Amino acid sequence: MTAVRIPPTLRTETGGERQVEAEGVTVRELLEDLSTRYPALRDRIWEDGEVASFVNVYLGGEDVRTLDGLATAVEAGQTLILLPAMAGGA
Amino acid sequence: MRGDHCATGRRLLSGSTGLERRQALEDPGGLAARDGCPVSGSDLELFPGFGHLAEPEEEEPQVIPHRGVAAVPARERAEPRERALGPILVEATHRGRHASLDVPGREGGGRVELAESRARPPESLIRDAECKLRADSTASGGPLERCQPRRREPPQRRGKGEARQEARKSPRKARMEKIVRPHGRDRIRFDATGRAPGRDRVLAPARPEECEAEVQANEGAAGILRSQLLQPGDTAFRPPRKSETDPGVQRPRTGEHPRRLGATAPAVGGGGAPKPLRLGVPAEAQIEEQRRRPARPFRGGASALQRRRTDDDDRRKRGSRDRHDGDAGARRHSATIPTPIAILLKPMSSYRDLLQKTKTEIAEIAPAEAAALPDGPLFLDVRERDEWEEGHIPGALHIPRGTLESRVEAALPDRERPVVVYCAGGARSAFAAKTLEELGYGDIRSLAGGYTDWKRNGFPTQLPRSLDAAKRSRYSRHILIPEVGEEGQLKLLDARVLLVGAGGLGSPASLYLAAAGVGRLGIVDADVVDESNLQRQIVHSTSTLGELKVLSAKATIEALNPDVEVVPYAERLTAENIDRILADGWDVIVDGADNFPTRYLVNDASVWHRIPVVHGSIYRFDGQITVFKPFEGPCYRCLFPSPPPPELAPSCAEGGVLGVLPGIIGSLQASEALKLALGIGDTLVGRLLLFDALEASFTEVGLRRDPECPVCGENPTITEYVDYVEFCQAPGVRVAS
Repeated sequence: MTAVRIPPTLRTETGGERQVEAEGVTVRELLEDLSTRYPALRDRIWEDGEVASFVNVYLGGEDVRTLDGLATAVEAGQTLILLPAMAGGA
Repeated sequence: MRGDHCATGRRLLSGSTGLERRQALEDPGGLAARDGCPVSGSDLELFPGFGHLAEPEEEEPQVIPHRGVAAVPARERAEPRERALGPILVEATHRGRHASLDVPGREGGGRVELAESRARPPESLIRDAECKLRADSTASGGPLERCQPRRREPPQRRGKGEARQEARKSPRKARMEKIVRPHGRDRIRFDATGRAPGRDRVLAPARPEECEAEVQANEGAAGILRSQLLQPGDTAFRPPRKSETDPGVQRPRTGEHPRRLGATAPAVGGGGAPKPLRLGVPAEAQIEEQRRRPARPFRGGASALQRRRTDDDDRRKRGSRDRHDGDAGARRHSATIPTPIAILLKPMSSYRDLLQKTKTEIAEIAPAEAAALPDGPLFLDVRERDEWEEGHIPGALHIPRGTLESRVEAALPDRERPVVVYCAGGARSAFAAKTLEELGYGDIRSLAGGYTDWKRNGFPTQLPRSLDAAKRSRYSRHILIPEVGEEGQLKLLDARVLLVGAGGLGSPASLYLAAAGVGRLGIVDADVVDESNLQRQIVHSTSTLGELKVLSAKATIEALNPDVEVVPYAERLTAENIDRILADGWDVIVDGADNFPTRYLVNDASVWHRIPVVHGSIYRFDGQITVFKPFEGPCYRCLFPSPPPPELAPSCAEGGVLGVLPGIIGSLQASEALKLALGIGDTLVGRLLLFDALEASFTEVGLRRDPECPVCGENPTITEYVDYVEFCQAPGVRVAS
C-alpha cells in the first residue's frame, strides 16, 4: 500500500481524509485504484484517460512528468502527492 | 602571631617617578642607599611588599609545586620584640648589568653586587647575598649572629619537637628560610629557569629594626597604607576586635602623625635613634592586595589554633570589603611585628616594542604585490567607520578592529581564503592579522603602509555609499547580519517590489517588506476594505473599512516606515494595464492574487518582462509557496499549463482560510522577496513548499522547467495575454477579494 496525500481542494471527495492509501505497481495503477476506492475523485483527476493538466502528481517529492509519467514504478515507502492548482491568496 | 595575611601595594611608575622612587631610596635614613643601577626609561613597577618576620627556628619553607611553578608559602610567626634585619632591596638589572642587593643600615653591611641575577632563582640570589653579607659582617666585626639561624626565642614557645628539628637543620637552610619567608606575598612564582616570570627581581626582606619607616600616602595609596598600620607587639595573641578593622582607630607606632593617612613600615636602623623613612606613593598609585596563605598552624596548642580559626572566621565575615580596601592585611597584622619592605622593578613593553614584535610574527604584503595577486584576495578593512566612509579598497569587507574578533567568523567563514588586512598605515592591521591567525585563519597578510600607501600608489579606491545615522539605527538589526550589512540595506532601500493584491498574503508581505526598508512598494488592488477581510488582512484596520485597499495599505505602511514610497494601483490587473504597471520598473513581484486569471496574467507578464515572481497561495489550512524566476526555473505554466475549470477552483471566499495562514505564507513570500532583492541565499526557485497548518508540517516537492511550456518553453504557443474572463464573476480580472 502506498500513502496518497490528498490536497485540501480534493478532500471532499475522500470524505475529508487528508491521507489515504492505494495500491499499484505504477503511478497509473495507483491512481486507478485510488479512483476505484474514492469514485468522486475520478472526475477530478482524470481527463481523457490522462491526469488532468491542472493536477500535478508527485512521487517521492518529484513530479512524475519528470520521471516516467504514469508508468513510473512505485517503490515501497514512497508517498504520492496529488497537487491541483490552488489560486487563493486573499 | 597572626600573620597569614599581607597586603602589597603596586603601582606603575613612569621614568620620572621611578627617579623619585630612587631618590626616596637614597634617603640617608632610608631603606637602601643605592645607586649605580640604571633606571630604565621605560615604565617600572614598584612593589612595596609587606610581610612579617619569619622564625628562623621553624622548619624550612615549603615549596609547593603549583602548575609548573613553585610557591613559597607564607609563614605564620614573627617575633615582635626581636631585633631584626633591615630590608634588603634587590634592584633590577638592566640590559645585562649586575644586580645590586642592599642591606642598608646594617653594621658592616651595604650593597652586594650580584652577577646577572636575572637568570637566577631568587633563592640563590638571596642566598648568595646572605652569604656575602655574612662574610662582610664577619670581616667588619659586625653582628654575625643576626645571620645565623639561631635567634633569641622565648623558650616557652618552643616545643621539644621543634627544638629537635632546629638541631637537625643546617644553618644555610635556616638562613634561606629566614630570608625567603617574610617577603609578604602569597607566593613567588618561578618559571622553568627559576626566574620569577614577568618580574626582574625578587625582594629579599629581612628583620625590621625597631625604628620604623613611614610610608606616607595620599588618597590613591590609602589601601596599602592602611593595611600597614601597626600595632605594638604586645598585642600579639589578642584576637581582633571589630574596632580594629578600622585603620582610623589604629595607632601607628610612630605616633608622630596620628591623623595623617599613613602607615609605618619597618626600616633599617642605622644603629642609632629610630628615624622614620618616608617612601612617597603618589596619588595615582594602583593598589593590589595580595593575601598570605596560611601555611601552618600556630604553635601554642589548641587555644592558639582556636584563636586563629576565630580570626579566620572573622575575616571571612568581613569578606569582600576587606579584600577591597586592603584592610584584611591590616587586621591580620595588627598584632604582628612591623614588616619588611620589598620592591620589584619591571621594565614594561612600549607600544612601539609591541608593534615591532607583532610585525615579526605576521606576514606583510606591499600594495603592489597585493594588487597583483592572481585570485584577487579578500581585502579586510579594519579601520573605523569614518575612515571607511572616506574611501576604501573596492570590494573590501569592513570590520572595525574593535569588533573584529566577534564578527569575523560570521563574515569570513572560509579560514583558508587569502585575506589582506589593511588599516590606514599598517599598524592596526598587523595586530588584526595576528588576531586572525590566532583565530585559525591560514592565509592572512597585513597590507604594508595600509590604505594610505595603497591610495598613494594609485591603486583603485572606492567611495562607499552609506546610511545616515537615522537609517543606521532603524536598520541596525539588518546591518548586524553579515549577509545584509550596510551594503545590503542600501540595496533594499533601492529595491522596488510590486505586490499583486493587498489582501491576506499582501498584508504581511507588504508590512514586512516596508519594515525591512524596501524603498518602493507598488500595490495593485481594486477592492475596498471589507469587514470580512480584517480576520487576516492586517495591513487594514477597522478605521479604514470601506476605503480602497491600496490607500488603506499605503497609510499603514507609511506610518510604519516613512522611508518607503508606496505606489498605489487602484485598478484590476488586466491584459490592458499590466504592461503599463510593469513598465514602472519592478525588481520582484509578490503574487498574492486570489484567482487563476490574475495568476496566469502575472505569470505570462513576468516571463516576458523577466521579473521574478514570489508565488503564494492559501486555502483553509494549506499554503503553497515558490519562486518563479523566468528562464532560470519553471514558471507557473510549467506546473499548470492551464487553469482548472471554475467549479474545481474554489477561492478562499468560498472555502475559507485560517486567519494566520496568510500571515505565514505571506511572510515567507516577503522573506523570498528580500532574498531576491539582496541576491543572497537559496530561493525557492524550482521548489514548491507545501505548508499544512493542521500538521504543522512543511513538505517540499521539486519543480522542473517544462520544455514544452506554452510560455517559457522552447516553442511557446502563448505570446500574448489571455483573459480568462470565464473565471471571473465580473468583467476583467479581479485582484484580491
